[in-house]
Amino acid sequence: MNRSPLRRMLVEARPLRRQLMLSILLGACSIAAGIGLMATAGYLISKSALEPPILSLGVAIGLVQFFGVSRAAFRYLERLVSHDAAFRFLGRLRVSFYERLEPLVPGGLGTARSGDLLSRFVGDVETMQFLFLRALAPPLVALVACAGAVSATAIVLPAAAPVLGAGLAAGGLIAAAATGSAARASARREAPLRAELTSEIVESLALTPELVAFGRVDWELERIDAADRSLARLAHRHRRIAGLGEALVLLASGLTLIAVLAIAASAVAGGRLGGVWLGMLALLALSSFEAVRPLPVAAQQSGALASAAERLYELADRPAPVHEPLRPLPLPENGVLRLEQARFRYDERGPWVLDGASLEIRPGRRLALVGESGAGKTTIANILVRFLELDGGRATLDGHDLRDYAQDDVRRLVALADQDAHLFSTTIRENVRFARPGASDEEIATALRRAGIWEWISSLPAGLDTYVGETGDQVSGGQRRRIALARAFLSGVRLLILDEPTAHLDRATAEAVMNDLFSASGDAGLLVITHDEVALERFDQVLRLENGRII
Amino acid sequence: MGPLDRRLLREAPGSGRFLAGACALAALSALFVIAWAELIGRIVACVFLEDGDLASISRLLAALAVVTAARAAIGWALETSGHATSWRVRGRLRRRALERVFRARPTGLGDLRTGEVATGVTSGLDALDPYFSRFLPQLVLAGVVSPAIIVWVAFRDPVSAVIMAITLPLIPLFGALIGKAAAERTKRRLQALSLMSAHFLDVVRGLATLRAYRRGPAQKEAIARTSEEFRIQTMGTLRVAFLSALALELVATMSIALIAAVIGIRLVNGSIELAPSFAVLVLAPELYLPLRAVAAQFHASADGLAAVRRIFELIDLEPAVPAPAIASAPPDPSSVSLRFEGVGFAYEGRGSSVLRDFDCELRAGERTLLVGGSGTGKTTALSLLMRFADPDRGRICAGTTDLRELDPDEWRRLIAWLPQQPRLLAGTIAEALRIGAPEAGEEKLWEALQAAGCMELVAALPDALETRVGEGGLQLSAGELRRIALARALVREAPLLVLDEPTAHLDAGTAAQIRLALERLERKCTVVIASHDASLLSLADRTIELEGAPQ
Repeated sequence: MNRSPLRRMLVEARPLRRQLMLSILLGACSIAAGIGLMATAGYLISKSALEPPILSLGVAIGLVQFFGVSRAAFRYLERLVSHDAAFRFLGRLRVSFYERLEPLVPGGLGTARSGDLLSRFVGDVETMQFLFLRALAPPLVALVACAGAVSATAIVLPAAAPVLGAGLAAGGLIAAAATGSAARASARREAPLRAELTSEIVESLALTPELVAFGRVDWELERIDAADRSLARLAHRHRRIAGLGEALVLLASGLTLIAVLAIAASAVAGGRLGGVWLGMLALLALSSFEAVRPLPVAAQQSGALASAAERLYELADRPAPVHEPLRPLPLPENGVLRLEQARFRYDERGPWVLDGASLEIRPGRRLALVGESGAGKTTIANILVRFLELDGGRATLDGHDLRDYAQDDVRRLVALADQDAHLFSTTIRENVRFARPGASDEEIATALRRAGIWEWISSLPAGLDTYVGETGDQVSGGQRRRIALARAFLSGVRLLILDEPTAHLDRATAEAVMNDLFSASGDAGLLVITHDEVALERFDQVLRLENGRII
Repeated sequence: MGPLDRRLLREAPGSGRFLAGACALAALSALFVIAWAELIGRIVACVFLEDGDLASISRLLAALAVVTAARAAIGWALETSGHATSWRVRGRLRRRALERVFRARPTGLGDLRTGEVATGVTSGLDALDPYFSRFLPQLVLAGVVSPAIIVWVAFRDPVSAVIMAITLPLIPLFGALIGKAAAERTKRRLQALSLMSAHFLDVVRGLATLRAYRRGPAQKEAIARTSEEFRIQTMGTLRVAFLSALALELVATMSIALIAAVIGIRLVNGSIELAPSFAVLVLAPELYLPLRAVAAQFHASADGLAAVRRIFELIDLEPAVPAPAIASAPPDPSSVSLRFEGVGFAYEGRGSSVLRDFDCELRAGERTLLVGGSGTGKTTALSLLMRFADPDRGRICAGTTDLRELDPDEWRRLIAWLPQQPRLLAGTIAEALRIGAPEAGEEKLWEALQAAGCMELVAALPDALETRVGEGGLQLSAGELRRIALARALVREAPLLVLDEPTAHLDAGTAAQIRLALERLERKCTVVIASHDASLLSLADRTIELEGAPQ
C-alpha cells in the first residue's frame, strides 16, 4: 500500500474511464476548434490579400464558421460529460468510503474528537468530486490539444513545430510549478497562522466581558491585527509567486510567437514556405496557449486534493477494532454480560485505560458506573456492545467469550445510548423507528411515553412528524436524550447501557430523566454511566471506576 | 445588487485607490494590446507582401518582445495589487466588526454565535481575495480595454468596429438574460447539493448510533440511491445552466468568424490593407476576453459581496451603551456614594423586567453586599454599574453625576471586576493578571496574588508567574481560577471593586478561602459584592436585599 493516495483515487475511478476519456477528447476538440478558428481566420485573411476570386475563399470561410460553432458546442458537451462523470464518481466514493469507515466507528477512531474527524472525512470525500474536473482533466486535455497544435504546425513548417512544443511545455510547466509550489507553501505555512488567528479570535470573543471591563478591547484588536499582518505578509508572498506563474505563461506565449514568426519569416524569405501560411502559423501558435492556461489552477487543486486523499486513506486503512468470528455462536437465552479482569488500552504503548476491571450486568439489575471523566467508563460501554475488543482478561456473554458472537447479535441483546446519541435530520418518528424498522406508530408512542417525552411531542402541531433539525438542534438537550432513550426502549433489548444520560442537563431535568428511567426500564438490565452523582441511591449497586479498576 | 458595493468602496481603505490604479493599469494594458496587435499585423504584412526577410523585421520582433513583457507585467501587477488590497480591506473590516461585537455584546455574544462570528471575520473574508484580485481587475479591463479596442478598430476598419460594437453588449445581455433563468435553478440545485452533502454528513456522524442499532450496512444503499437521484436531477439543471456559457462562447467565436469573413471580402475588394486587417483579427479575441472572465468570475463577486454584507451586519450592531457627545470627568467612586435611583431594566427579547424601581446606595469606602435568590437581578445591577448596559428607567449616579454622562471606558477604568464566571487570557499567569493592569510590575502581581490568597499556589509552580494556563497549559480548578481572577481584579488597584458571586459553585473549603481573602482586603476602596452565600454577610458593612421585580 505504498502507492500515492491520488493514484489510489484514480483506481477507484477506473469503472468510469470511458466517460472520462470521452470528456478529455471533447475538451481537446473544443480547444482544437478554438485554435482552428484563429488559424483558418489567419489563412483566410492572408489569402484574401492576394485578391483571388471571392468564390475561392468559400472553403476557408466555411471552415472558420464551422470552428466557431464547434468550439462552443464541444465545450458544452465536454462540460456535461465531465460533470456527469464527477457526480458518478462522487456517488461511488461515498459508498466505498462509507463501507470502509463503517466498521471503524466508534472503536477504531481512537480517542480523538470523533465529531470533527467524521466531519472532515465527509468534507474530504465531497472534495474528491473535483479530482477529475479540476485536477486530472485539464493537463490531459492540454496534452492532447497541444499535441494536435504541434502536429498541425509540423505539417505546414516542420522547423516551427519543436519551437512551439517547447514553448507550450515551458509555459505550462513553469506556470504549474510556480502555482503548485505557492499553493503547497501556503498550505504548509499559512495554515498554522490561520489557525492561530482563528483561535485568537475565538479566545477573545470568549473573553469579551473581561476585555470590555478592563478596557483592553483596543489592545486585543491590536494583537489580532498583528497575527493577521504576519499571515498577510506570507499570503502575499505566495500570491506573488502564483501570479508570476500566470504572467510567465503570457510571456512564454509571446516569446513563442516571436520565435515562430522569426523561423517562418526566414522560411518565407528562403522560399521554403508560402507567405500566405505565415499569418496562419502565427495565430496557431498564439491561440494554442489557450490549452495550458488552466494548468496553474489544476496544479493548485491537485495539492489540496492529494492531502484530502491522504487523510481519507489514513482513516480508511486503519484496522478494524473488532473481528467477526468465523462461526458465530447462536444468540444466548439469558443475557448475562460479564467483564472479568478486563484490560484495555487504545495504543500499544499507551497507558492502560482498563486494568483489571470486573463487573456483571443481567436483566432486572440496575447498576450505576461512576468515575472521573476520562476514567474509561465509555470504553467499558463500547466493549460491552462489541465496538472494542479487550487486550486482556475476558468479556463473556452467558459464559461464552463475547468475541464468539457476531457483532449484530450482541447488539440485538444490548443497546447503547451513548452520550452524544445522534439525532438524524428527519422526523421524530423516523429517529425512533430506525431502532426497530416496521414498528407501528403505537409502539413508537409507547416508547416515547416510557421515555417521558410523549406529552411534549403530542403537544406539538406536527406531533411525531416534527422535524428535529440539523443534528437535532431544534430540540433541547433533555428532549434529545429522551428521544434517544425512546429509541433504546423501542429496540426491545434486554440490557440497556446509557452513557451519561444526564450530561449537560440542569439538576432538575437530570433528576427527572433518572426517575423516568427507573420507572420505564421495566425488567431490562440497566447500566447507567454517569459522572454526576444524581439519584444514585435507587440503583441496586453503584460501581466506581478508578485507575482502570472497579472499586 | 450590482457588482460593486458602494459602501465597501467607501468604507474599505485603499479600495478606491486600488480601483483608480487598476484603471490606470488597464489604460496601459489597452495601449499595449493595441500596439501588440499592430506589430503582429506589420510583421505579417512585411514578410508576406513586402518580401521582408528576418533582418528587416528584427526591430519589429524586438518591439513585440518588449510589449509582450509589459503586458505580462501589467497582468501580474493588477492581480497582486488586488490581493494586497483585499488583505488591507479584510484587516480593516475585521477590526471594525470585532470592535463592534465587543462593544455591542459586552457580557457575551448572546444571539451571535462565536463560531459564526469567528469564521465570518476569518475564512469568510477569504472570499474578498478573488473579488479584488480577479473580479474587479477583469471588470475594469472590460470597462477600459474593450471600448478602447473598439475605438481603435473604428479607425482601422469601421465595418469590424460595428460588428464588435453590436456583439460586445450581447455578452453581458445574454449573460444577464440566460444567467437569470439559470441562476435560480442553479441556486436551488446548489442548495440540493449541500443538502446531499448534509445527508452524507448526517449518516456518517450518526454512524456509531446506526451501528448500535445494527443499521450500519443498510445505509449503504440509501447513500448510493440518494447520490444517484441527485446526479440525475443535477444534470437536468446543468443542461440548462451550461446553455448560458454556450451562448456567451458562441457570441464570441461567431463574431470572430464574422469579422474574419468580412475582412477577407473587403481585402479582396482592396478596400483595406493587410496589416490593419491582421491587427483587427488579433484584437478580436482580446475584445471578448475580459468580459468572459468577468462572467466566469461572477460567483467570486457574489461570494465576496455576501461575505462583506455579513461583516456589515456586525459593524451595524448597536453598541450596548452609547458614548456621550461630551463626556464629564468621572468622579472618584471611593470618595462619593453610588446611588441607584428608581432603576428599571429588562433584557431585550425577554418580556419581564429584571429590575423595577430599584433604589439603593453604595456608600463610599463601605462594603455592600447585594443578596437575593437567583433571578432577583443582582448580576444585572452590577452590569448596570459596570455600564455593560444602561437602565431603561431611572438612573445610576456617582455623586451627582449620572453614569450616562460618562465615557464608558473612562468609567470602567475606575472599576475592578470579578465576574461570575471568570475566564483567563490564554498565556502565562503574569499575562493573565496584567490584563487588569498592563503596567503592573512583578512585585505588584505578587501582592495581588497574596491578597487574593493564592500566592503559595503560584509560588509552588516551577515556572511561577510564567506558568502557562488554559488550553495546553496548567488546568486550574474552579477555586484556583476564581482566586487568580480575584488577583487580576486587585492588581488594578481601582477605587471600586465589583465582585459577582465570588463563592458560587465552590466547595465549602474553597469558598472559605475566598472569604478569608476578601476579609483581609485593605479598606481603601468601595466594594460591592453580589452573592447568595449567607456566610459572606459577616464581611459586609451593609446588606441590601433584592426581591426581584414583581411579575
